[in-house]
Amino acid sequence: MTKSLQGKRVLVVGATGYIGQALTIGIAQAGAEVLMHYHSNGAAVESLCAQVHKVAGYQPRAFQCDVSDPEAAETLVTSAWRAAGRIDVLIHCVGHAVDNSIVFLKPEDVASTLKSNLNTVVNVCEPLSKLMCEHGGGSIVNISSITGLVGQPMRSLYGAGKAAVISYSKALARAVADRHVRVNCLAPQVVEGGLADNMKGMVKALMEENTPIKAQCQAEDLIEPMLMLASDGSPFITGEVINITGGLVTW
Amino acid sequence: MVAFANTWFVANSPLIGEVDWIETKPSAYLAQDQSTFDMEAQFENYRSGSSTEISHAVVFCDSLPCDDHFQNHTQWLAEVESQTTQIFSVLQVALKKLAAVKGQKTVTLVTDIFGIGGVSSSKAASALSGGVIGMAKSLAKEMSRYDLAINVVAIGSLPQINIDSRLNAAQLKLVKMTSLGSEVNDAALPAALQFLQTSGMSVTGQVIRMDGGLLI
Repeated sequence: MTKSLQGKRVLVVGATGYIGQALTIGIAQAGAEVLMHYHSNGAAVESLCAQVHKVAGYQPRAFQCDVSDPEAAETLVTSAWRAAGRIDVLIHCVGHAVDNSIVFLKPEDVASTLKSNLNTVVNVCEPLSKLMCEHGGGSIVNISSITGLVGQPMRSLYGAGKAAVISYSKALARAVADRHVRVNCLAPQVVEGGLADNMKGMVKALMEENTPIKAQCQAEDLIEPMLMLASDGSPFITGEVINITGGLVTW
Repeated sequence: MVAFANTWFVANSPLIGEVDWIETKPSAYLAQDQSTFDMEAQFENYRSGSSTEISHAVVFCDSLPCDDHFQNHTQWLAEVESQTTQIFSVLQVALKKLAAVKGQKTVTLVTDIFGIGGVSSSKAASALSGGVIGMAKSLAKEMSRYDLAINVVAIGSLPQINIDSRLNAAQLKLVKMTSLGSEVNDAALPAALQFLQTSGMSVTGQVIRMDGGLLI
């Protein structure tokens, strides 16, 4: 792996999630200083700290808070910024799906799904992109989902939340582009070990059968596209969404 | 003036009532009066007054105002949540009721194009309409087994429903430079709605961009 993030300070929000852990290790291996955010899984963050130390030789800082709370998210941003001196890159991996037919969903499910998918992103991106604008620029990569682009049965609210993340990211990208802040998204299909584990075996098998690259998406499949968007190697890419679906979605 | 038969019209803004080329007016304005939030009663009331079975629904989704960069994001997130919840509630009733009707049915959501490309002057409107489009695509896949097609018409500039106010000067200028002009043609939106109502299941989960070529 190239040291494409050498010297960068990278905040990973949702670092202890399945995707977050893989990306955190990838970022550390790419030479960056990782600042990790987690919500409640203290054991996972300890293990992740040890892994980062092993691959990169330093003990990363970890910050605990609930980023669906706007004040807590702002405190996270200012604390991490102060601790590292600045933040060059944000990787946002927080999300949650409510799986059910619209017939059975409740109005309060709309609130909870938007809070865990859209609000968590906006609450961090707004204060951090402001700081990035004031200090010469940066790069933001929000992890959305292919469900936000092409939909998925029984996941109408998750689809709405992840689509809203993509649309917000595009709007933010346009708003801050002239101050050298880039905002992009990754849209993976369900990742093995993550949300895919909630799917029925038959659905998983059908998805794999229909994926031209006959495999399940792994969290590690997101690392190189994320590094490309996060690094200085993509200065003219903003407001973009990269599908990571093994050819399942080619449009 | 175009009249729509067998169609339940709902809007979450009274501004939609000012759209004068559609004869069929929305039967409920969600944002105006929270008492209309009992959408099931609204639907039944509308159906009881109709001589034919309702087999189509058209839901106009209003946009959100411009937001100030880096300010009040908690406020506009609450508005996105409120409007999305309203749209969800309308869709839930419409889909439940229409799924029980024999034959082909359609639901068409009318929103703006901001969710497709993002607009810098309103991250709120972008997130809202993007979410609506995302929800529609999932629902199209989920409800196809009931012969129920769900599509979106995403319009560009339309002063009547206050979309132009979401565009900053540069963006509005860009819209006016598009190939087909600055506003949705009077006949274009009803034509698109009629096309989607008569296409059956051949067209579902689609977004018709009615933006004069802005996002080619």
